[in-house]
Amino acid sequence: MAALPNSLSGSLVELAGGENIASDFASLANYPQYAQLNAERIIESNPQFILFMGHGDPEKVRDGFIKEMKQTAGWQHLEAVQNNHFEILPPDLFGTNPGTRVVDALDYLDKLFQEAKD
Amino acid sequence: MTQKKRNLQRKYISIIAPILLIIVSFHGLTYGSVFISLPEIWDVLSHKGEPFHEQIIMELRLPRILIGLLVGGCLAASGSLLQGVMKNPLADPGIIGVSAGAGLAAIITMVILPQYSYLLPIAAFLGALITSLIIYLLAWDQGTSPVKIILAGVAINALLGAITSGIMVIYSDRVQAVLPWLAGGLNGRGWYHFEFMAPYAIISILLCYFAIKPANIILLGDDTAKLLGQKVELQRFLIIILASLLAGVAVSVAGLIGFVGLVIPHIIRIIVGEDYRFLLPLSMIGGATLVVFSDTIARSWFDPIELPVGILLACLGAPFFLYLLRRRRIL
Amino acid sequence: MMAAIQTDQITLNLGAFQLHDISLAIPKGKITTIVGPNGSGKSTLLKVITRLLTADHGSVYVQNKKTTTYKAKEYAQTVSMLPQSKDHLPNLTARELITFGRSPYKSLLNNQITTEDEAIINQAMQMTNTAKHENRLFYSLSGGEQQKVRIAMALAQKTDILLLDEPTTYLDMAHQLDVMELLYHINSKYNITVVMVLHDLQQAATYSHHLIAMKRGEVVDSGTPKFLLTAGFLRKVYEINARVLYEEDYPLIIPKINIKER
Repeated sequence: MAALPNSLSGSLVELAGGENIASDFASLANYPQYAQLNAERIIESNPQFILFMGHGDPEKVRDGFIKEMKQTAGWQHLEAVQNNHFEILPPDLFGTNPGTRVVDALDYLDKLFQEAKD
Repeated sequence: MTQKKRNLQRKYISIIAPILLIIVSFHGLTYGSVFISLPEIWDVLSHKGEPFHEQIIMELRLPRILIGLLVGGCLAASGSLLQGVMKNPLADPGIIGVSAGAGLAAIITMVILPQYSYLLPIAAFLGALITSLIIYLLAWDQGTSPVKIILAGVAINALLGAITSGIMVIYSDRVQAVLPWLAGGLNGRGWYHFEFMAPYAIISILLCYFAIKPANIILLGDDTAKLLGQKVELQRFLIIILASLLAGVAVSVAGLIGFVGLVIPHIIRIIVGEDYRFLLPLSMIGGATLVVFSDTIARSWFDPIELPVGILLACLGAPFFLYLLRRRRIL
Repeated sequence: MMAAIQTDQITLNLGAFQLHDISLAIPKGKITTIVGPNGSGKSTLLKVITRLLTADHGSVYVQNKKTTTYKAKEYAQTVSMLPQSKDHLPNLTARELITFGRSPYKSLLNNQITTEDEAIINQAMQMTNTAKHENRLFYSLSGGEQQKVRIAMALAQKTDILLLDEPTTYLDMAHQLDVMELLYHINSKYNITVVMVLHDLQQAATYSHHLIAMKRGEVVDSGTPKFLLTAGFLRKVYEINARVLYEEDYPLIIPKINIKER
């Protein structure tokens, strides 16, 4: 399940300067916020960064997510996975509507992208 | 139908079905977000292909097709065995609680214990098996009968369904992740899932050989079978466990896929008759073919979105039942 | 005379179906018919003998062995039965169905049909005159022919004892006679002990060596047909007023009727 640009998280990503791979697909422009992206398209797009929206404490969930990623077909070839450019987003900022803390969410992403560039 | 016609139909479908299976498998290898032609596939298999093609074929499509074959084969085998042993041509693995049990286990794992979500296939498998056992034990009273098993199944399915819904309501913000699984699909299924399910699936399929004779005799009726010296209660129990294994393996990896276990054996039975020597293997081939073909459609037609194959199969279900209604003989 | 089957104080209470202290003996190599009004426990008794039902008290002995000591397949090689319930048989060919009669001799590892099995199946078809329907699907046959195929399946079990629960009830007259003649012939030529439940008292009297009369879960009378079939018997067991005449060895039961002159 991927968050599209017109979802809250997807929108935040674009504001922070990132590009959602889903924005490549014109047919998704009018699609409601989340979609099951075809695994082949994901590999084709080869994202540099993968952001996970989990719902537990990111620390606890991280190991589990890594194991699950290894299970998912084809993902070990993704640049993001090989460079360890993935992050579990804190659920309070990204899982549900963070309300006024949306600024914190933006800051979080901004910091993440800056660190990755270095 | 005369015996001649039946034997002829058996001959034809024994040839056509495997051929269809092979065609559909190659169709799955070539179609997707990218069309990869047969010569290009050959290149990949002989290690001379483009890396991108190689990734797609070897990491994505090939394991996915293999999984689809196993899932379809197991579900169809499960449904065909249940339809005989429960004396109900409309029986389906859901009747013995496989779907409800796997579904509940999946929800609990994904929603309440997300740190263990990588254990999903195991949890779903166990959920399926344990639920079947519970249903069987509830129905037991110096023996069971198909009616009792169905009643117990209805009760447990209702209970587990209620709990599942309850969890979804309480954790409504987390439900997003579970929905695709509940709808049933092969998105993201790769070698990990294949290696997980293959041993169980293959063993279960091999065990089906031993179920053929007892299943055939049970078709004669409980009394007649007992008069022929068969231990009907034991045989029914073992066959139900086998059906539960088959369906559990499939559901643990593919989520709640319906329709295959119900409809494929039904169709095959209309063509070849009730004899399990033909019904069972041909149902497996039919189920495998249907799932692989549907999955290929589900992941290509709506590019770049993937439709969970369970939804596509459910859409095929409605017209099929309407067709059955219009037939003179339901069976 | 040797008893093929003996029961000793069989008692069973299933609410609607009851048996009270049934002790009887079925003579070996003869045709015995159990008669009696509806609800007298005739079918229930057969089910207890064939172990489809378990008695609350008492024992059944078949060939001088307690039935509880027989293993499942062993018992199916000793006693076969044609149940009354039209268990919905699958639509297989006559031969395929009759082949199931060999199941008690097959096991998990030894489950192929041998040439010996084929010979036995052929013989069963010959005995029942169903060879001509060998490859016809079961439901394309007439009721009488279907019944004969079912009997052939029981015969393929090669048992010494054959039980039949109302084998003629759903058949027309011609087929009824067909089946009765067949059973008589099987008994006289192959010495198979036949035990059946029949409703038609006249048929029962004609074709049986021994009659057992039941009423309300108890045995009330037994003996040869000629000896048993009297007006008093009819009054006691069936509570009807009738007299018995014989026309060329065929018993005629003439009930007293109350139709006014037209």
